[in-house]
Amino acid sequence: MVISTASLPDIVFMLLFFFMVTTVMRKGSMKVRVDAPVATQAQKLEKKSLTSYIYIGPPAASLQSLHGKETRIQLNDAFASVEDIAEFIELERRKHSERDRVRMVIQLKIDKAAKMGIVNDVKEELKKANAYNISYSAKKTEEK
Amino acid sequence: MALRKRRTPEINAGSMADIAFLLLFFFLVTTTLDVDSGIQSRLPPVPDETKPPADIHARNVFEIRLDASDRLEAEGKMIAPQNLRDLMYEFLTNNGKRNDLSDSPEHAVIHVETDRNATYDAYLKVQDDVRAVYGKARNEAALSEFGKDFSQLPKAQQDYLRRRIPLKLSEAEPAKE
Repeated sequence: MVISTASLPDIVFMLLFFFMVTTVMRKGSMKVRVDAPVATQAQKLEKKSLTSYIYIGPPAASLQSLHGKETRIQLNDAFASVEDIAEFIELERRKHSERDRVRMVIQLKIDKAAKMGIVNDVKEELKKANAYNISYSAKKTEEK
Repeated sequence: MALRKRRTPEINAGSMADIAFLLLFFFLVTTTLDVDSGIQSRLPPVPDETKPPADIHARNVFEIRLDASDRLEAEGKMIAPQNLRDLMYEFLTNNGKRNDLSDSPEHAVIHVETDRNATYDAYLKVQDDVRAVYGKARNEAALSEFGKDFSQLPKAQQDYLRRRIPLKLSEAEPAKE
């Protein structure tokens, strides 16, 4: 029997559009390496649109020759320092309406091996900027 | 020469599928279904500079310390990470029985001190344990009071249990010598 293959590309295009819509090519350029730790109590982020990200980790392998191995902070697409966080929060806040601002969540994507010193500094800056609602990025795993 | 009506060449639909597959594989490979999961948390408030620090080692405070080599210390004693949950759970659900553990879950405070050189992985395990312990305590309360799992309760009852067993976390860096 000759099966008509005329509709095959249609099916594949449907799949393609599905992937184009559901996946995110958001990362921009990851300048720091983040190997997320695992946690049993991790939950999915509720509102991705109301989430801002702070990345903390050693620079990506390709950039280590330029920037060294020390743990760095990345905000959006560029390296940043602890002092830049207050401004970053303010800019992120401006992207949302008054009502949505209280529901904003800052997700901290931190590398497993990052030292707590820089993490604590970031948390202090967040407190000063009145951003108390945070999420520690972690991969969900079953009971340890 | 007589004009011959040329038959428009048919496009071979089979190769369209190949092109579509190629594009599909491209997207499959370059994009990520980046699962954004994490531990929801509320940062502890900035400590009031004017108030004197509360007595740290009171019975209602469960002290956890992480030192620079990720060694875990709970209530002043070195412990293995896997024992943290049980110790914390015993502290939280003590309800006045032992006089060195909490009076009630409402009074219980978990205090975490992390050395600046401790790794984030170890710290997150502690955070994970804290939430697991409180989740378990709230679930036990849900079962005994309402006969259902915490996650199956309506929001009002969940909030009630959250107020009964509040997650009070206090964090500090160890005092410098």
